[in-house]
Amino acid sequence: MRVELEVDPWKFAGPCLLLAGWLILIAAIVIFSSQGGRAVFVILGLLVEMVGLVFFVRHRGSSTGARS
Amino acid sequence: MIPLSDSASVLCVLLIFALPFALAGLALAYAGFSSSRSASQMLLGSLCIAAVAAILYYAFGFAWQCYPGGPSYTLPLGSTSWDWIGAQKFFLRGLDFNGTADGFIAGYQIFAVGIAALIPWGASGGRWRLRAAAVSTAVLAGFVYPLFAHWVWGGGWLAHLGVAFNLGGGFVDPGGAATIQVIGALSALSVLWLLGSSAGKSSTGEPNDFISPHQEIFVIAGCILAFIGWLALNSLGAVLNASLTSVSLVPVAIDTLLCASASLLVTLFISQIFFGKPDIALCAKGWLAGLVASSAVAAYVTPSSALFVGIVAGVLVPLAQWLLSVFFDLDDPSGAVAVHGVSGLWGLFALGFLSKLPKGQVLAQLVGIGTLIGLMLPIIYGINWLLAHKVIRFRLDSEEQSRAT
Repeated sequence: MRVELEVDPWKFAGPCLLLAGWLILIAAIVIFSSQGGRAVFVILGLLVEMVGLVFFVRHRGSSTGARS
Repeated sequence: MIPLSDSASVLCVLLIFALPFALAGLALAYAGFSSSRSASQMLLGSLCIAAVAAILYYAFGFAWQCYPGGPSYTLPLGSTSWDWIGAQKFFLRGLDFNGTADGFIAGYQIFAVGIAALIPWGASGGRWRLRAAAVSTAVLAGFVYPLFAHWVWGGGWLAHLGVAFNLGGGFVDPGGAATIQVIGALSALSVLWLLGSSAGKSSTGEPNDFISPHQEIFVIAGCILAFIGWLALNSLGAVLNASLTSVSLVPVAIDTLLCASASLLVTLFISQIFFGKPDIALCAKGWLAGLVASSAVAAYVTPSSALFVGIVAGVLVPLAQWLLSVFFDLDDPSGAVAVHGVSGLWGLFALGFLSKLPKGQVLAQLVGIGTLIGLMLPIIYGINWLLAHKVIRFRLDSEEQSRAT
């Protein structure tokens, strides 16, 4: 018998992308010494965070309001 | 720590005594924004939230936050030591209130943490169970707020971005736009997502109607009280976090007023265009958004720059509230996320290019903003998700909401 779980695999994409974006920011300031290189990767990190935020909103699961 | 001069000490004491006006103003405004049946619960809840925040910050929070030059835990990574959390003793032990800055920082922060904790409570609009709010506040005031506050104000890694990586003066947040306002707004965002929409409201991504405040007098009185509190908040921040002298506080007060005034007038103009008359709720949110943005910039920019920051904050608030409502499905009648979150982030970014801080300040501010969104939001949401699903039921049902009056 096949049991289907109601788990949205994309649910974790949002937080993971947010954290990935933050790690890109940190890596940018640690690895690069020129302000230009840092700026490019800091902006890239922020863009990844924005995409993560969109995933977060779209796939964050049900609110606790549905339970009460 | 170096002791403050007598005049600076007296000034700090007086400013700390004026901080509760910010708490009172926000509590009153949030009570006015909520529905009439939950107004008294909102006010009582605000007192309880401030009480829980103060006790938890006293017990644990200040120890984790600490102060510049105080004991801390560091994480060596590459050639840099990342100062990530304070290691002061719990219950304010080891702190002498003898005129040094650390004692004033503790007094300032015990009120500031209450303001941050009040933001999610105000955003909930009476849907949040008070017990659950108290538990969430305990975690916020006891750990999350002090963690970020240490990074910015306690000599942590964000403050040292300038020294360690040549990024301007490091991440700068003199009045608490990030540490108080945006952290509070991220907590509000997480709580609102977990609570879901109010009964009768859309939860399918369709546009929500804006709720008119039930008691507009409360909202306006709250805005006036909040202004007094904000003057104290920005001035204390300027003295303790930006090392300004007492004579430099007049421009801070002027910047605070100009920023709030510009934001208010812009929202007034926008509401006149869209609704045909001044919308009190929107204007109040504009005023508060201007105050929030001023927390970032007041200590560092010229009055004309503060005016510019206020104008943009006034445009951003109605836009952000509409976008959050339509695209993020956020039922936020007090506009807490737009007012404290979006406006706070704007102020922090604007500080990067409007101030005369060293080169690289914009990047330092962007790293701080990225840390708030990329690291603090998942942490705050994760903690609240665990509390809501494993520890305590968050939402009042409709019958309990009726009884709560």
